Amino acid sequence: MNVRYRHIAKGFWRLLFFGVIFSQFVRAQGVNTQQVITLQVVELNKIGINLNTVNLLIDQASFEQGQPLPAENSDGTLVWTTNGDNKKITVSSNQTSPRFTLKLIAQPENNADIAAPEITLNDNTIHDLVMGVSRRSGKCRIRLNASATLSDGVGIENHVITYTITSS
Amino acid sequence: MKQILITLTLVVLSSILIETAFAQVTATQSVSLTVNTVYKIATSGNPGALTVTTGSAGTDALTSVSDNSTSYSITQNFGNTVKITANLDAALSAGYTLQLNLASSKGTSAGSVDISNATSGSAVNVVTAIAKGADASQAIGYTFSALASAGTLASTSKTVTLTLTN
Repeated sequence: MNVRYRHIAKGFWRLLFFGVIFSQFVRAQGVNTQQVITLQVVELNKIGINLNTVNLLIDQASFEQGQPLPAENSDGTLVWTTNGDNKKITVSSNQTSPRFTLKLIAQPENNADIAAPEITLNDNTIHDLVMGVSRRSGKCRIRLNASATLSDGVGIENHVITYTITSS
Repeated sequence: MKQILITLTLVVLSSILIETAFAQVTATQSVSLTVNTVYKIATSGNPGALTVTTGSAGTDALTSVSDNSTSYSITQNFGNTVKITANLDAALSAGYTLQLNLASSKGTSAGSVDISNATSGSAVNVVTAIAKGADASQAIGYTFSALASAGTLASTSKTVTLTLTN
């Protein structure tokens, strides 16, 4: 009988020991707390050009061609970023009936899909410049070429050139 | 008469002796004290909406936004190797990044930790080696950033779980 009680007592103490160890282990698994966060990215369309003012001065002429030589500036870089889909970049001038000829030549960089490499800004219509712009940033070099004929005479002409990212 | 007086005197003396004897009786109690393992962590609430609203032309990475309006508090008596892990209920899509920064005065902050891909099975450490004791009102910082190439993201709720564990 004593032996039986001794076995029961041993079993009890073993159970108690492992129970305490197990309970500590379970507790040590950790507790947690939660936060709910709300994330959103709105549609963004950004476009910019590094040269805000360009002066094109025609002051040379060619004896061979019998015309004034064009003036050119190729320092412009147009950059854009959009996270929207199916966008395009357009360009326009505010001059409705210019006397001189102003051409815009776009030279693509990093995968820009140029719609019209050369655009004559001889009215204030909107021209497609870059097509297929979706979820990316890009850039292209902008070359401006001003030319005049002898019959155009002399004078000063101002253009405000506007580049726009818009839905295609 | 004399015998009566002697008897009374003996009775009074006996009573005094008995009282004195009772005054030395003591009682004992056995008090058992236990402190269980205590793990507590709580946050002050939810952060404000993190909305990316601007960027720079020519740059794929849009301007990130941050929120530092919430805090957390912990209490633990388990040990000095306790840590806090963080995970989301679901990973973010490619091109979106959520970083978490927990300040700590009782442990070592991991600084800004990218939890964009941390889920319940891959929680990441944000504070380690936390000493026993309490650490109240420590700042929680979130930074959300996005690439333009990832597109827009409609308002989306994510649950961040902070776990105090060993």
